[in-house]
Amino acid sequence: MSEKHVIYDDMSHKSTIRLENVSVTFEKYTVLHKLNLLLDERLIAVIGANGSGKSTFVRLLNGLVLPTEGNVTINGFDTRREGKAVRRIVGFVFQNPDNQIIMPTVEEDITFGIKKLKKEEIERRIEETLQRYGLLSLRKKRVHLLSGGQKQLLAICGVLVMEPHTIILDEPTTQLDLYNRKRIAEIIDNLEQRIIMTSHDLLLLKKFERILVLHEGHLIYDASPSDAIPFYERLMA
Amino acid sequence: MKIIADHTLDTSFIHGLWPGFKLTVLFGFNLFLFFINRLYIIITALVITLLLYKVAGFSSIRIWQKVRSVWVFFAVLFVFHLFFSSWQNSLIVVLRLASLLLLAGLFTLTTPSSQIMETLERYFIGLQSFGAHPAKISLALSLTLRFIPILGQIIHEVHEAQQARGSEGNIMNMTMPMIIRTLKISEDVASAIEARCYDNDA
Repeated sequence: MSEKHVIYDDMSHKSTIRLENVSVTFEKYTVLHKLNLLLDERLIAVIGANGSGKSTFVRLLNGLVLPTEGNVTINGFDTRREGKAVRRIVGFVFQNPDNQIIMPTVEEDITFGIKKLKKEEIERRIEETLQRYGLLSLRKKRVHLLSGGQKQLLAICGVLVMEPHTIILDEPTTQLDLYNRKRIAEIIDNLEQRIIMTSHDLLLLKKFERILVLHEGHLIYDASPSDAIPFYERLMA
Repeated sequence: MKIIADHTLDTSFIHGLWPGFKLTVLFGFNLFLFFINRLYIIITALVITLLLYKVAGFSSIRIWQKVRSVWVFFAVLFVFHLFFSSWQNSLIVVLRLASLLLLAGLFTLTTPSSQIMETLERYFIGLQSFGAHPAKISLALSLTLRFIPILGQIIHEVHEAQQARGSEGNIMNMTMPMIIRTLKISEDVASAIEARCYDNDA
């Protein structure tokens, strides 16, 4: 069986992400330099100062940003040529949920990415997801009336309902208060999918398996949290 | 008058009507009113509209909430028309507009936005032969409904920031940050639509 076919048989995190000689340049400014990586852990974090290239890096992994040089493949799917297939298996939660929530009400927004499924399947997924994350009572609510935490939860639910194998979270707790940070952290902890997350909240990353430290577009450290976090703290001191 | 994305969850007879039927009635009613210039018919139309609000279970307060933000506009329009025509004609113009807006408001109050979009999408299918893309039109309308409150919030934030820096009521100072933030949002939303697997061919 080819590598490409594995994704539909197995909901686990056993998929692989490969970056081969990947550079990203915007106009004349190189944002990421010659990255070569094989990612197959379940919990991967990307840390770095503002402007270090974290957001560009994670956007590469579901084809929102295409490499200027090199290739990114997810389970054999090339992000450049097979962007749609990649985005079906890699969900993306943006930093600001307001920009990710597309539709006017909670239910309509959850349905956005799964419109093409059968009605019964859509209903099942909506019901299950909203129930699991405590949003069922808000099903008909207009999204601009939700609190910040509820919006972030809805953004995550909008991705989960598509049942991706990998979820990318770009600084998911940045705009939240302490209570909602804890709540989102708990939810992330309990997800079964592979998680790739950028964050400035180092406490959130302690349970992760692998941490990539980016600095000015270069990957300067790649290790477990026990090594990578102290290294990053020294770098930022 | 707030006529966007504010449908209620009541289950009156009007709430239960097929959205396509409601939209057709709204369209026909509007067309009819445009060609009518008799005051008693316009007043009857307004009374019918108000009765429909009652049938749908809305209180007089709700009707007032719909009209209060535009009553000044109606007053100015009435005075403006008085300069050029009789008071009867001025009243016709204002009452006609009030009926149209109230009926459109009733439609959005009793129909979820997803159903409005689905209905419009079906209506736009006829335009496909002219190169129109119903799903895209429908998405654009949904985005409009979704982002009006966000744009309102941006205006509020930019205005507050300007006030904090001692510059009040200067439209020009507000324009640039507004444009920049709106462009940034539109870029992010486009990425989000792509990331959430929106199918162009839907």
